[in-house]
Amino acid sequence: MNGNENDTFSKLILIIDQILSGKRKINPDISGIENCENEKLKELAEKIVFLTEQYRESYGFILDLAAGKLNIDPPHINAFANPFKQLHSDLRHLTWQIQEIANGDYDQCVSFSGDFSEAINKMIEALRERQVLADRNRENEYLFRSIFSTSPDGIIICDLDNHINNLSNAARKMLQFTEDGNDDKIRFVDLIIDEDKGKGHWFFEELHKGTPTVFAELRMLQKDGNWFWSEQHASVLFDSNGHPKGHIIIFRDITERKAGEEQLLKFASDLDESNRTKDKLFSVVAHDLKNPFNALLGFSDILLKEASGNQNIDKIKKYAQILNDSAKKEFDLLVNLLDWSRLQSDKIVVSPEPFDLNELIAYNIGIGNTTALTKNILLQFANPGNYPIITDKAIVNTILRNLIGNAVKYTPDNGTITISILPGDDTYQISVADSGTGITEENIKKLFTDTAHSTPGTNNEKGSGLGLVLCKEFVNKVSGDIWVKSVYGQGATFTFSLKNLK
Amino acid sequence: MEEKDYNFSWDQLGDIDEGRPNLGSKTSVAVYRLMQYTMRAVLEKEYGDEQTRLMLVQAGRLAGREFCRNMLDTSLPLNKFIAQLHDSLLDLEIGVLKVEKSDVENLNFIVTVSEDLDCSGLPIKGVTVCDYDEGFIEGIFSVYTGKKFDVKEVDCWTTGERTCRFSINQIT
Ligand SMILES: [Zn+2]
Repeated sequence: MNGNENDTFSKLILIIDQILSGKRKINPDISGIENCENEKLKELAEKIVFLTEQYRESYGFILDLAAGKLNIDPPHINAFANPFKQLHSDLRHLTWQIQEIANGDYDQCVSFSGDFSEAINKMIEALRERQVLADRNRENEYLFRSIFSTSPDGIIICDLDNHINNLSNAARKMLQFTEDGNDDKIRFVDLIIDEDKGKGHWFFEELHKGTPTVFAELRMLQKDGNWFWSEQHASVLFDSNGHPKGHIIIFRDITERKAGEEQLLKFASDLDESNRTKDKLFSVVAHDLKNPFNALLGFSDILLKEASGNQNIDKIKKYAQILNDSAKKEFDLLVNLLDWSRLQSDKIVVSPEPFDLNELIAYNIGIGNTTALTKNILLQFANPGNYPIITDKAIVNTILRNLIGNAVKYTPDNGTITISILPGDDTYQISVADSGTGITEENIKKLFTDTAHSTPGTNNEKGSGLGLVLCKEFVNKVSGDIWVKSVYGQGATFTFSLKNLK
Repeated sequence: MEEKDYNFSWDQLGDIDEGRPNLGSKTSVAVYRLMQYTMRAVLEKEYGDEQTRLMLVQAGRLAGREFCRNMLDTSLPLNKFIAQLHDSLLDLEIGVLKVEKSDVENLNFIVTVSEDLDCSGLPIKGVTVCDYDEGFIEGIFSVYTGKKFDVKEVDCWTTGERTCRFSINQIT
């Protein structure tokens, strides 16, 4: 070995020592190699230099990798670096995957290093579940918002103190809240009228007790001070931990329905009342129909005996008179009853015709006089004249017959009954005033609706009370009205109005 | 790289299910490589190394285009498309595709394919051999994006790596 070879070996050993000592920056010095004649040694030196280069390159790469610099280009064809290139590649792919996950791609599945990838994949799964939940929440929120804004029922959301947080469009409209109004300070109970506030408090107490939904009908106030009937359903709202956080109230305006219900109730009560009236009427009528027959049968019996016996003409006359009176009463009652039954079954058709009221009044005075004269009652027409009218003559006749008949019945002997007529513009008012017993205030109220008030006449005449009820219904048929003025003990004045029916 | 009018259609692959009711659609990697490397040896002998390399790239490109048209859903967004490509390369046992970098804006990517069908386990010889794969990837990306790409295999099993690395760059 010559000195030149020795020198070369020393230099190569120095290079290898540097590599073995872990020195990073190695400057392989093989100066003078060109003078070396040993070809094998020259080749060895060149390979050691190349090795040094690969070592240096991989050392730098590994340091970069250790420093987390993934964005570097790895050495190309370097056996030292190869295992680290695999790590570098895996880390780059992992970084890319995490970037993709960050962008919402939860389909990534990490395979880098067992425990690590398991943890990351669990995290991805959790993120995916959260995403699904978030999507569902968004959908639910959208659904809720569209219900909230489009529901025809009003929706109110309150906190637990019932301060209003949110009003749906329909609720705002019903309560007359403006779009931009500051409604924060309003409590739900402030929207309820005073009379129903107690019910409103009960409403929420029930919810606090744990009743899932509570129902109530409350009157709600509008901004303009009016109120409306509302049907309310309320439930508790819970937060994500299941703790109550407020109330949701869904309500609708039921004012019309309420009115309908009230009308129905009134109708039912009217119907009930009218049924009771009829029941009473029938019992009275049955009684009244029977009574005259007692007289008819009893006195006709006596008359039969008298007529075949001692021929006492005065007695016979007296009995015949009683028979005649009874028969008349029976007849009057039957006529009224028939009229009334026709009225009830709506069989009476109003047929207007022209006639003179003067004649009809005179005619009825004539009929009334047959009884009035027996009581020495003065039955007079105060102002006869020409009173042409177009209306239903038979109906007016029935009214007059009943009013005059009643007056005669309730006027004591030697009394006065005055009929008068007051022409108006296309109308007439006909009054029948008597000097009879009069009517108590209490009875006046039910005079035209109730048959049970009937009091016996001055000669203890029985009445069904049907007459005035009939008058009222008849006069309404011809678009008129009937009323009475009376002070008890000082007689009564019945007046009815008529108008031309064209 | 215009798409040439090759006399190829997907149905030339035939009805494998009908044709191989017992043996099925799979074969051995060795058989695949036997065909590729004997073909390669003959072509290199006839046309020279560089010409052979180019022919393999062209064949891969044709395969990639047809594969993309017939096997992949090109309506997917890029990230879903890559996931789909990953899954189908795995299903077909071609290799494990991993993205190292993606610049979606400029359509530049670096991907690796591990356990590559063409090269993994081959003797190291200092040059990359997955020429067919270069064309295959290029064909897929150009059909999916409608753009032109330059695909280079940077590292290969045959250059001493454990995985093949491809740079995919849009040609602007
Ligand atoms: Zn390769």
